[in-house]
Amino acid sequence: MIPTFSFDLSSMALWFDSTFITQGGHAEYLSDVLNSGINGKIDEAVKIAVKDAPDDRELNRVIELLSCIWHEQKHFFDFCFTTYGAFRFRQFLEIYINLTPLLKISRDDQAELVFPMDATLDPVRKSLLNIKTSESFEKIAYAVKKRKKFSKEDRDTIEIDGLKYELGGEAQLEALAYITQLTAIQSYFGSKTSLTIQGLTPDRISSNQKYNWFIKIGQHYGILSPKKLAERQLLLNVAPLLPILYASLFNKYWGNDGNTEDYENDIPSFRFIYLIEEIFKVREEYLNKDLHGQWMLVNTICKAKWGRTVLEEIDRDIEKEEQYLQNVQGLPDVLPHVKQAFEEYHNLRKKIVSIFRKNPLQIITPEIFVRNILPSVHPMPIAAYPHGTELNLEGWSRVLGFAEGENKWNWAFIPTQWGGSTNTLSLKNTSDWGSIISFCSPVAKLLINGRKHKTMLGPELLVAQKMLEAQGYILKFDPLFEFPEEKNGIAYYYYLTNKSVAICDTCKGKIESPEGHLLSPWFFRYSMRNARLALTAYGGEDIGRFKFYKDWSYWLVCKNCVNEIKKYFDWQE
Amino acid sequence: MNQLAISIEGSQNIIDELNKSIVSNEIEKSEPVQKDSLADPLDAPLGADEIKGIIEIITLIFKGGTALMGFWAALKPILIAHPKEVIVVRDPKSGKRVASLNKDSTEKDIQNLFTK
Repeated sequence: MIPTFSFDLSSMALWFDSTFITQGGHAEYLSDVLNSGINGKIDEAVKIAVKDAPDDRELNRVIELLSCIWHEQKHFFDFCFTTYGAFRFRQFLEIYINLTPLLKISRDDQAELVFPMDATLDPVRKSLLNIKTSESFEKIAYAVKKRKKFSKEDRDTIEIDGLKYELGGEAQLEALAYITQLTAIQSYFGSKTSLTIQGLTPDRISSNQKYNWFIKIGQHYGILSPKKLAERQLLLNVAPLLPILYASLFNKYWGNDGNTEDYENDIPSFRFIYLIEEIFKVREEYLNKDLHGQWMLVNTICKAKWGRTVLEEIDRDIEKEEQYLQNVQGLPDVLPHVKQAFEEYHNLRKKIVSIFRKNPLQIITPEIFVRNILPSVHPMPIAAYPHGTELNLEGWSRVLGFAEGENKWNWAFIPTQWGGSTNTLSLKNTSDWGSIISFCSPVAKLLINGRKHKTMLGPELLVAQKMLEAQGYILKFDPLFEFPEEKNGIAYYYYLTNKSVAICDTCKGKIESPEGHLLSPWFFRYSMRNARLALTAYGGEDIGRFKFYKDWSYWLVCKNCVNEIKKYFDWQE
Repeated sequence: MNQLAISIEGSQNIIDELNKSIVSNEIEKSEPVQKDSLADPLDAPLGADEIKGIIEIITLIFKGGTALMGFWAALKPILIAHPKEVIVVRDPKSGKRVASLNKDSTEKDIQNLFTK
């Protein structure tokens, strides 16, 4: 993945990095449209997109990019709305809440902070890596391990026509975001444009598996039209699946309040298959109902199987979360901005539930959601600058940067103020969320999976690591989780930049699409040997050193150069 | 490799089967762990990643003279049963890839892991 737009659930924020997309020209046009999109001004974004489009190709490109913002905005909404989404966010919250006591005990006991923390629970990994940690660290590690177990169980797959499709909660959220994205394109630009955009993404099979899987499954169970063309008529056909997709994401997550402590029989993947099989039994009756009737029938099945309708599940989840929040408010060791952020998140959930209570179809019907609700969904944006910038953006505050003497730069900003009117669905407290973005979130990520993540930037993890080291903590990484995977995203480079020719960053030779290799900034951090390659290229000595610290951009290299690099430098596969 | 320990990375099916098949007292096993992060951001269809299913890692410590043979006896039929799959062998102390194994791998490839 080349990071462009991503929803980061650890901070409930929308990261965006325009480095690649503005390389192909028309930077001002793209920036105007996308900024309006990020600010929730859909009508303005659509107007500029059409009015100022230099040509059809650029118009389609900007529509697709804009629709990716809508996709991420829908994720933000669903991570507040669904009990599955809230459960996923609380996995971070639990760590944030325990962070102060965890760090205090680790420092007092001179115990190691181990990344990822569940390595401490495994006798084999513990002995092999000679891990020395504290009991309280292991207690929180157990909670992380439990979440990983849940995630594994939920990522069930089904094989249709030789392709594997994931059915779990995350796949369901991707499906809902994709439906919203395409509905919004159809609603604002027309159905012909929607079909064109669907054909643009490179690697269509992967996209289908990740975003369109529900069509295959819906067709397999006879709930969606079996026509071959159905995939290209997405918006006409998916309605009968929507009640099932939504109802699958409202599970019980509060220990004994759930069906079992291990979440058996109530994880999103199980719920989805159970519901679709039950609907299959009454398919004719179901398909003859309108969306409201279908929603009621799905709720009747939920009530019979799990004891609650979707609304009852949400009410119970909110009630339990409220009790948890009250407990947290009384804990003296919890960082104040964590308490405040949790409270704001909880209140936003209550606001969303009140919309749902008034009329569930406002959320379930994509056309209504896109027109009535999406314009008010404003996740906080984080503007990322992987090259590092000395500029201070007006109206934005730094959340990630570096300063040592005269060497100062910024990697990421959030708006100084966010959320606007009371009608918006947003997390507005930039001070609380800024602290989470710059410290709590990266530390939690290190604790969950070391440095093995899809990162938006990279320095967020290293800065958090350096802060901990500077405070005297002893850090230990499991080497198997020390670095993100190195993947060649060259196809997306040409796609995002709109280019067909590029220049090799090492030999300066010409590279033509589809040739070339994108070296991630992590490659230069694997070892001193690799770092020297960049240090030399940046001019060596102090100037080169600071340029190296600063620059977290990708390097584009030709085939010959990448082969040489593989021969002489440390290569992670 | 200095230690008689390896980490095996492969699809969930292969690693779970291997975990069940290794019953020797001379091999210590870690629990299989997912390689993917729960904390990964959710990206839009601009850069759809390939769907690979769950990739897991298991670490093994060989403690006795016949452990290696026991390991190979457990692994070989699994690789043959999954002819399209490749597993990656890593040094658990450095994370570095030391070999790839597939249905065509031989006992000698396994021995080489410890003589390199």
